[in-house]
Amino acid sequence: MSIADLISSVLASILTVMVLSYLVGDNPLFRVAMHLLVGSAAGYAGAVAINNVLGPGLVDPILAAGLEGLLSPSVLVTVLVPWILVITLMLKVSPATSRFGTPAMALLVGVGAAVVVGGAITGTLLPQSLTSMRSLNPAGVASGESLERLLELVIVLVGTLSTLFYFRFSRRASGQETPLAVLAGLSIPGPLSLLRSVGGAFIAITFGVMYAGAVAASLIVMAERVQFLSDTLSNLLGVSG
Amino acid sequence: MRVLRLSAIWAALALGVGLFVLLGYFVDLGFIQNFRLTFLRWAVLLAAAALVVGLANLLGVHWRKVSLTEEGWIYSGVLILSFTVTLVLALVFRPDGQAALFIFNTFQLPLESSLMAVLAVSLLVAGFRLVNRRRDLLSLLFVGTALMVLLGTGPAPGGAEGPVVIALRDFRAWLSQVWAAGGARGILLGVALGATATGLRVLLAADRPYGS
Amino acid sequence: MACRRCGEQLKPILMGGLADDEADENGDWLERMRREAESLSGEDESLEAEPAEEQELPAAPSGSDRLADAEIPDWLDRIRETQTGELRAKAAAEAAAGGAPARDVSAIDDSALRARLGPSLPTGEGAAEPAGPAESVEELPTWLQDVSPEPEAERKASPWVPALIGEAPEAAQPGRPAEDLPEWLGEIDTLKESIEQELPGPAAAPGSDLAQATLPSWLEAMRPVETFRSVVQIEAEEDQSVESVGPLAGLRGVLLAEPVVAMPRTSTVGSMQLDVTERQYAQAELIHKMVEEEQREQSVSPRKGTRLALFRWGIAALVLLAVALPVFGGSPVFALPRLAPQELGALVEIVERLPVDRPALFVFDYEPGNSGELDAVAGAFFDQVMARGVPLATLTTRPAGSALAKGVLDDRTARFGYVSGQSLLHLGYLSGGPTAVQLFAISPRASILKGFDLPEGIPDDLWNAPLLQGIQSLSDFSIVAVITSGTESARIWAEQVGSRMGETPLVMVLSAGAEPLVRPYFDFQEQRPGERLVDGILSGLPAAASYELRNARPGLALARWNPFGSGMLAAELILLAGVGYGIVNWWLGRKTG
Repeated sequence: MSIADLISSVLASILTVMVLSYLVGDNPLFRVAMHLLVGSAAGYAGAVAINNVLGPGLVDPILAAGLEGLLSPSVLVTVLVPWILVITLMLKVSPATSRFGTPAMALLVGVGAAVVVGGAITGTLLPQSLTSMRSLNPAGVASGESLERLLELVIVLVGTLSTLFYFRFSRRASGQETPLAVLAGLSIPGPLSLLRSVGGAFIAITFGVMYAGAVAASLIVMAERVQFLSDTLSNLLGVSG
Repeated sequence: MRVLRLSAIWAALALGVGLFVLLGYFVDLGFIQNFRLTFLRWAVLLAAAALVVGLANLLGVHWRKVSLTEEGWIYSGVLILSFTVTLVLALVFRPDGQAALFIFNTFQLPLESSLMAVLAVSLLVAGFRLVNRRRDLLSLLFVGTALMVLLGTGPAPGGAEGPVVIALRDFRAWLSQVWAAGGARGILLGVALGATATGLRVLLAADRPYGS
Repeated sequence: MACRRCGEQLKPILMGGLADDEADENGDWLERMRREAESLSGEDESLEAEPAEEQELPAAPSGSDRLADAEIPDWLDRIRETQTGELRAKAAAEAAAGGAPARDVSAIDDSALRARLGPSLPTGEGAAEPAGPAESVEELPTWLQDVSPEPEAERKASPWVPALIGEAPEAAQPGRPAEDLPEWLGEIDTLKESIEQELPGPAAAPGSDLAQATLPSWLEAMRPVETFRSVVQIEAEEDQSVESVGPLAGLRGVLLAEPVVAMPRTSTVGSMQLDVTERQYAQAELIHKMVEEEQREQSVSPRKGTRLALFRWGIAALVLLAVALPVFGGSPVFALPRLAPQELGALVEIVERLPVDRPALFVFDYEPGNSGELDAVAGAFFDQVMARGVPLATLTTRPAGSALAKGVLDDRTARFGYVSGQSLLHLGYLSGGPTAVQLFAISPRASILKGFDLPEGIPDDLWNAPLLQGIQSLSDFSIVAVITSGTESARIWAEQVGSRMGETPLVMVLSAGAEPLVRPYFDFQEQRPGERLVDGILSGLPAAASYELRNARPGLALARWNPFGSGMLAAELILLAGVGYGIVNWWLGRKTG
């Protein structure tokens, strides 16, 4: 291990301990570590954006085209218009000149909204709806399918519909649905309330699975950090020994 | 009146570029695809510029804290110092240079990983308190599902996996691939519907997040 | 211009003095005032102390100075006659009672009035002559002297204005015929008679067919019992006080302003007593208690911060100990996964069928914080692809993604004999989120302009490199593998590029928490092969460990298996304890109350 790697490991281990000290309580070491993280991450992101996107997209074409080539229509569209848009967007830094950045923001927002809408329709709404509808078709289920598979299809379908109902038809505070019937002191809820309850149960199950996955992922990262500290300690002991 | 005309122009601009981009998903005409490509390229450049603007704002906020010596100005000074050093080194020696990668591997990577490790404790503390603070059927269902998935995901202590472990793993797969899949599909459809509605509101100028 | 009352032509008022011979006998009272003021300027000012002596009422003015009868307002004439008559009667009574010289009260009043108003009083010649003893002209104000009383016979019937507080018109004016009263006064009399008949009591008059109305209880409670007077009592004329100051000096029955306005007195409204019911008492008491509670200070509950910190410390210590024990101590040891997930087989099959003449695209779309997990999960996948010799290209939509990709693949390039620039190329950073992904899906060459960590020998135009020469669209890659920790990123890639992949498979390497929301894109059991958006999924450390075992290449997944297992065991125990703690608290809460 080179000296640079050793120094890097030691520094990283110290920073790891500073962050893990948050488990004891908020302290200045943790705050310093967080501000170091934000500063270095922001600086690196800015450098990547300038070096990998803005430079090749705005500066290199001008250098490649030269002064004579600047007036060509292709350069006009691919270089000058983006330059104007980028400069106006940069004016958003100051509140006094912020309004000049509105056209650039309008273009950015318009494109972004269209991409989101197009992707949602073609990538999620249509395929997922078609899949759900197909599961309702008895002919779509191959003969010989086990009862277990049919039951799974029904569960997935009920889960899909009830979850959608839960989001789309939320109960208003002013009025509650009247119960369907009252038997032996127990009120049987109406169909909408029942569907919402079932949807809520499916959502609880889904989020429970996601929560367990997040716990597992963070435990793996904790294991990696502890492993890293152990390796650094071994390296230090190995170097010193 | 002048302000009204300007805002209408910006709304028309957003609608115009948005229409070309949206039509490109469904129509395969040459000029539409060309306009779509041009607008997407401009948007990518503007996104990078917006990132730089955001970083400049971050720097400005912390610079103000340091210059006015507000509470926590020392931490802001640390941030400004680390930002400046990283930016200069990455610009001068390029982001794939040794200096920038050294800073990345020494500071950013271990710090973010350690934060993720702290998240494990926070999640478990929250899970422990959940049933005590909110005793209803949904909370029990949530924690019960999480417990079953953890039991089915985690390895078994000792030697080879026994039938109990295998049964737990199968139950976990059934839970996540059937029950959770149904709920996930409904959530995805709901998210897609909401995103479509929000996007259309922006395109039709019902919402104008870009200002007036 | 004519007078609206008498119809006589009015003469213009001239400023400045006029000679006496210029004054018209029928007008210019202002001029007469001025002359009279001059004549009175030498008079004794102690007119108030003038000894009370009987003074005669002003005599009737001489014929030339008398105003025409039509000019005198009748109401003024009546008032004067009434008051002079009353004053004479009083003066005579006083004289008879105390021997005090009866004096002409009207003259005194006039003199008081004169003393108050001073020389500005009009002192016209002549005076109205009432039906009484004559008075000296100079004792009365001239404006009053000009007013000649009509002889009673010549007086015509005119509307009579009763006193402000007075008796019925018949009592104030005895002998006055009722038919002389105006209609509205007659209505007042009728109304007054009817009120006097009704007021004595609520009981119905005997013989009446109408049922007596009953008051509601709340109205009855508000009835001012003590101060209520059923009959308006009017004082006798002789008991009424005479106003001595002001412009109404000399008049009887004048409302006493000073005692009402200046002197403090108790409000008659406050003297009313209300009937308060028991229910109202209770409600008032309730409001009083509520107001008192608002003013009472609430004690601050003691903070339980210390207990919370210990609690969190305990869980943190347990988790750290569980994870560190296998790392530092080598135990406990957990069983390796025996059965692989169902989708792993499909993924392995996809990788086995990859062509080696087209590069594979790896998208590193996760933050450095998730590298501890995803490096381990994706390791086996990288190993299998690189073991087959498939050229690689990396891409990222995160600023730090390229550095992560370099860190992950640098060790493997040496191990599997990859050469940067020939079999491995980092395409770099794509800014813009979904917009950038859509642009890349449409035209990869238009979206990527500069690579990352490019070796020397690679041309400035990245896409002219030998590795990427055949790449025009996304479907030209052999496989697109998205390594991500977030559902959002996975969904964006599935939505934006899924329909443009053609025959190229799209594979997702996911964090364990992101799998549920990506699986719907992958459910091949319900989708036809051509419609599937995601062709393969690899999620979680158990799947990765199975993958490594299948590849027979132990990697990071197996290296972290024991600490992972130990940590999961601790997590399960903590959650179980939490459920038990909650149930016990609930049961104890029910038991106590």
